[in-house]
Amino acid sequence: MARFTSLADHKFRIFGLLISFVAIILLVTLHALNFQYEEEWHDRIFIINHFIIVFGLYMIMFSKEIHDDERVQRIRYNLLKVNYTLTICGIMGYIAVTTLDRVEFSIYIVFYIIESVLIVYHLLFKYCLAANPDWIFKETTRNKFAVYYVFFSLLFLIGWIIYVVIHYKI
Amino acid sequence: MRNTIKVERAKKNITQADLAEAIDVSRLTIHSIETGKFNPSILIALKIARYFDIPVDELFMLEETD
Repeated sequence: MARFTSLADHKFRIFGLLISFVAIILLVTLHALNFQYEEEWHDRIFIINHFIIVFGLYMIMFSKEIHDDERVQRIRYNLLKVNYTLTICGIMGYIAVTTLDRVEFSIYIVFYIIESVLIVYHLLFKYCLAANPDWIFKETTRNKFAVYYVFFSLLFLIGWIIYVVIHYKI
Repeated sequence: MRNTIKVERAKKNITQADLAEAIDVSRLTIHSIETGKFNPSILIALKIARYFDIPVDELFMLEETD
């Protein structure tokens, strides 16, 4: 019986690479030409372009390798955890900065964070496949400092809520 | 966990690529198992043991630190 997998066939990797490559070239060209179609279409074009880049990068991410055995699956699983953490931390960090320091929020920065993390993921994935570094296969044990992470995160969250309530008089 | 895959391979005079092909994994996977970087699943351990026709506990051994 065939096992269910959320991964696409290896050939989708080539499609993903092609899609993201074309979209990146298009984005760079539009920026270089200072593209203006119509006033309200400016943002839409760029946002659609970023969506296509992210879609292409995700397509590569969720495609199988030629020899997709359990070593590759372990590498993918561990790097997906890193990717997930970096994306969440990056976006949350950016949101925190825009809230506290009055930096203007831009959806493009969120796209850049997602795209950068995905590109780093792909580079790390290729590196790990070729170099087999020890750290990627290291069995994780329970971290005795985990409780402190939770404690300080909660403390930060409470402090941040208090700041927002006082500052913005909610 | 240590293993004797390299020794068993030498006895049979086969390469990592031969073993990889026989049990349907990549050569790098065999390399990382041999060097102790990657602990395989029971399925792969059993496949390797069957290939060499020896019990699994003769192929994979626990160390003091495990």
